[in-house]
Amino acid sequence: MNNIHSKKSGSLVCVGLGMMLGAHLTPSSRSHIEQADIIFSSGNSGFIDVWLKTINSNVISLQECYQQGKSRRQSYQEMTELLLTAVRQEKKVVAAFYGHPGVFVSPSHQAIKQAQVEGYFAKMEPGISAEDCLVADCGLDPGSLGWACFEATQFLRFERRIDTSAYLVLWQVGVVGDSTLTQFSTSPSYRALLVEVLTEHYPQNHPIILYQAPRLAIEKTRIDKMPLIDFINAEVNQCTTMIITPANKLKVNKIMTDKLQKLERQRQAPKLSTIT
Amino acid sequence: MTNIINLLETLAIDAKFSNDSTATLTEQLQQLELTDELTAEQQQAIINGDARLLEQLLNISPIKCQIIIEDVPGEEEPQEDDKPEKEAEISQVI
Repeated sequence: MNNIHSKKSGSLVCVGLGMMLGAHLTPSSRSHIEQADIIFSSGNSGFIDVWLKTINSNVISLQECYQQGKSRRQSYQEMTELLLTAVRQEKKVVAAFYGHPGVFVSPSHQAIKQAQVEGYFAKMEPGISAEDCLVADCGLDPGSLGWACFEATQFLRFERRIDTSAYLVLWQVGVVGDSTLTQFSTSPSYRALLVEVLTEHYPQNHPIILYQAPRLAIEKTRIDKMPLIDFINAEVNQCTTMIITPANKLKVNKIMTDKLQKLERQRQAPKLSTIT
Repeated sequence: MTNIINLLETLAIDAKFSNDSTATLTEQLQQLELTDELTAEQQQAIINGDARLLEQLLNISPIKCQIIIEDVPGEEEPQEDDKPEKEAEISQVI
């Protein structure tokens, strides 16, 4: 739990920058950035650090923690340690991640948890995630038919239950299958394995959408509709998301429907005490 | 450099740039009085929505990696922290 009355002066706030530079930063997150002693950043374009420096000049990029061939697990540990080291030096630390700082981000959760264990004030400010942009841009409502989302490699490696009457959203399909966490992209043969799993539940020509939110105001939104099989050779990158539309209609749960109707009848029946 | 960042921020806040035609975009750049400060190549990259080229033209280091999640748990089973069995803890949070 957050240590609001911490006497230690170091603190950590993880903020979200949203997906589009300048468009999605909340007033609260901007205020944290303005007042920070140091900002560690992880953006979705090279412009992010330059932009952040116009708000507060003390920006350090976390990109240096990445290296082709190096496990991202190690990179995330290094990021977490960088944040915690600055907090322990009694600095007011802000970690600014693109999107939402708690959605598909490991170091933010790890650092906040550890900082709180050590008695520091640490919290997260929400941001606009890629999923939020996807809902707006594609005109899909997760509440309409249900919505399951998975990280693509995790989806591939573990047995998951797929509900084909709901939307299925797979994140990071451009690096699907990289279980070593050392690659920044994977080849069509990896994508073919994902299609192999999906075709156990969906026909090869089932419609999918490949989506990418714009990072800058000058960029276009990517909403490419195609048959599932075409995904193998589609152009993808680290930010590409796959949306699979429902293949089957919702099936009525007869037992529960009957029970609900029975409850409704009981509710509507006049009580004996009200009959005069 | 600051001018370009200001431009990108202004366009994001105005929220109308990316849906406009090329002619309108050129007009907008002129209205923002930035055409004198941008090279022809930079202006074209903006109009084409080519962020990568714009990064190159401005000598901005591109992003190495945008993935920030430990997407694959260490072993065959999800990590202890990820298991939804900590019901007491979850209900406390709720």
